Amino acid sequence: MNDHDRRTLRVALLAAAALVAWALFVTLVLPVFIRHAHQGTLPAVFSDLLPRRGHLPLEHYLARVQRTGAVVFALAALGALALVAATRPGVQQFLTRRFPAASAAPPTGRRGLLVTAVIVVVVGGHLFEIVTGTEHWPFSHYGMFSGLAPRDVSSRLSLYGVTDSGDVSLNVPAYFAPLDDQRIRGSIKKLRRRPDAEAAVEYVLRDAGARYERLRLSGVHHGPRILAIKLVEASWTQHHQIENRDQPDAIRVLHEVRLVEGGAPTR
Amino acid sequence: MSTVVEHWRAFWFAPARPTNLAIWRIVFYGTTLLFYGGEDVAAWATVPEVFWHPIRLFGVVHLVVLPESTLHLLSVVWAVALAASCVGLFTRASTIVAFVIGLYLIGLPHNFGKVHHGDALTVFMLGILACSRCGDGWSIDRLVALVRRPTLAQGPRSSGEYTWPLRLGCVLITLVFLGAGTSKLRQSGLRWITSDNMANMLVNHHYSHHPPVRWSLALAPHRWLTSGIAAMTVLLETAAPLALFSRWLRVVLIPSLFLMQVGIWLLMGILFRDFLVMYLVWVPWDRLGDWIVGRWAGRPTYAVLYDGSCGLCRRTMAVVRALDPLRRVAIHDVHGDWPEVARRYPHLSQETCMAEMHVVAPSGRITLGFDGYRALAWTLPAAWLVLPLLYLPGVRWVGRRVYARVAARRACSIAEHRAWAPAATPEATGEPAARR
Repeated sequence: MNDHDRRTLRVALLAAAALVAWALFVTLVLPVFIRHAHQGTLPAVFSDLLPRRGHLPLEHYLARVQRTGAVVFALAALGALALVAATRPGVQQFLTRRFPAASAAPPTGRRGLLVTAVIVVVVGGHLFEIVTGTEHWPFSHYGMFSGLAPRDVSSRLSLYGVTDSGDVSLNVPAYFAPLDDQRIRGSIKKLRRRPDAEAAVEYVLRDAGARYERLRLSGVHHGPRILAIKLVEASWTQHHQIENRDQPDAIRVLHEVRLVEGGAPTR
Repeated sequence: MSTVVEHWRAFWFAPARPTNLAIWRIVFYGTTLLFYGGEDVAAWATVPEVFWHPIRLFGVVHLVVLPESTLHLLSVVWAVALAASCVGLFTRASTIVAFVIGLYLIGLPHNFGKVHHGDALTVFMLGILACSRCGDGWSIDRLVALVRRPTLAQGPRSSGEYTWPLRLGCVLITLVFLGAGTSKLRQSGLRWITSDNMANMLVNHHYSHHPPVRWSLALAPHRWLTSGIAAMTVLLETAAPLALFSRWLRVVLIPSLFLMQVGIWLLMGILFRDFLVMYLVWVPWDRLGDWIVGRWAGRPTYAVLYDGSCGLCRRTMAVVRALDPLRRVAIHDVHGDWPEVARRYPHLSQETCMAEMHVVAPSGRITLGFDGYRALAWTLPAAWLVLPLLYLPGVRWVGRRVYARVAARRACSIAEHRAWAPAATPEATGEPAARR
C-alpha cells in the first residue's frame, strides 16, 4: 500500500464514519427531539422550529425530517465519493489539467472577502433550500411539478364571470392586471384559512370583479361585460383531446358576488 | 486541504479577458430592460391589502407597497439604471442601483398570493454583476477612461475578476436543475418516471394553460414515450452540475436543458423567459470573437493617419482602437512614425496629414476630417448605430465646420506644445526634410 492508497483509505474511513454518525443522529436522536418539541416539553425556542405545530400531527414533522435526512445523506455520500476520488492521482491530474491552480488570480483583501461571501451565500443558500426542501425567495429548491400529476383535474378553484348570455371562465391574465387568476386563487386559498374567511373572500371577489370591469372599460382587455363574479370549485375528467376544456364535469359555487357600478373596494 | 483550496481558486478565479463578462453585461441588462421596462409596477399600489401575503424577505425587512407615484418613480429610475448598466455608464453605481431597486420591484408581485421562481435568477444575476467589475470592458466608462488616459488602450489585463461572476451564473443554473431533479425524486421517487405522471401532466396543462401547440395531446397516449421524456428530464436535471467540470458534457447537457425548457413551453405552455436568456452566460464570447477576427484576418483594412503629437488625436485614436474588435483599422502616427507612413503612402505629404486626419479605404480612396470619421463608422460595429445619423441632411455641413474649429484649436495647442517640447519638432524626430 503506497502513500496515495493510505490517504484514500483514511479519507474513506472518515467519510464513512461521518455518514454513519449522521444516519444514527437522524434515526435515533432527532425523532426524540422532535417528539418533545411537538409536545411542548422543550423551551419555546425549539418548539418554534415546528411551524403550525398545533395544526399538524407529529408524523408530519417526523416524515419531513426523515426525507430531509435522506437527502442530506445522499448528497453527503456523493460529496464523500468525490472527496475520496480527489485523493487519487489520476483525478488530481485531471483537475489540474481542467483548472490549473498556478494561474488563478483571486482578488485579495476586502474585495476577496466580498467576492467569497457572494459566492458562499448564493451557492450555500441554494444548497440549503435543496437539502431542506424549503422556499425563501429568491432562493428555492424548485419543487414545482415534483408531485405526481393525478389523472383527472379535481377541485380546482376557478373564477367565472356571469354575463347576460351565461357564465364565462376568467382565466385570462389581462382581466385582473396586475393580479392574475393564479394570484387571486392563491390569495383566496390563504384567506380561507382565516377566521373571517367569508368576508375576506367576498372582499377579494368584489375587488376582482370591479378591477375586471375597470380594465374592460379602459380598453386594457376585451372580455364581455360581467354582472357578477363567482368563485367555483371545478373538476374535469381528463379527455385526451381536451374536448371538455371549457365545460367542467362538476362545478360547485363557493361564493358569488354581484357587482355594483362604482363599488370598487379601495386599498 | 491546500490542494482543494487551490482547485477552488482555480475554478472561480482562472484569469480571463474582460470580453465575456462585458458582453454578458450588455446582453443581460439589455434583455432585463426589454422584459421589465414596460411593466406597470405602479399598479401594485392599487391592489387591496387583503391580497398582501408578504414573503419572508419582505416580512423580515418590513418592506411595504409604496405609493403609486413612488413606485412609478422607482420604475423609471430602475429603467435608467438598467440602461446605464447595459451601455456601461457609471457602471459601478448603476449596477448597484439596478440590483437594489430590482430586488424590490421584481420581488413585489410575489407578495400577492403566488411566488414564481422564473425571475429569481435575474435577481441573483443583478446582485452578482453589482459586485463584479463588469464595466471594465466594452463600456462607456472604458471609453471615458481611454479619453482621459490613452495609454490604457492596451485594454485591461486578464484577471480572475472577470471569471467568477460568469462561473457563479453557470453554477446557479446547474443548482436550479439539481434542485428540480432532486425535488422530483424526493417527493415522488421513481414513480415520477414510471407512472403515468408525465402523460397526465401533459394533458392537464391544457386545462389550465395555453400551450402554443397541441403536440402533447398526441404524445400523451404513448406511455413509453412519456416515461422516456420523464426519465430524460430527471437525468438531465440531476446531471446538470457535471457540465461545470467537463467540456464534452457541457456541450451535451446545456443545449439539451435549453431544448428541454423550450419543450416545456411548447408542450405545457410554461415559458421560462428570463431563464432562456441565462443560457447565454455559458457562451465563450471571446473565443467566438477570436474566431470571427480570424475569419476577417487578411481582409483589406482601413488606415487612419493621425497626428501623434496631439493629445486630443491620441485620445480619439485610443477610442477608435477600442471600438474596433474586428481589427479592421490600422492606425499610423504621422508625427512619430512618418518614415513608415511615407513608405506606404508616398503620394501624401506630412504637412497635410498633420493638418487633418486621413482615412485610407481599402480601395485607396482617401477621406479627410469629418468625412474620414464617416468612412470609419462603416467599419466600426459600435458606430453602426449612429451611421444613419451621419448621413442626415446638414450633418455633414455641421460636422465639417465643427471638425475645422476643433482642428484649429488643436493646432494652437500643438504650436504651444512644440514651443516648449523640442523633442516633438520634426528635426528632433529625424524626419526627412523633403517630406515636410
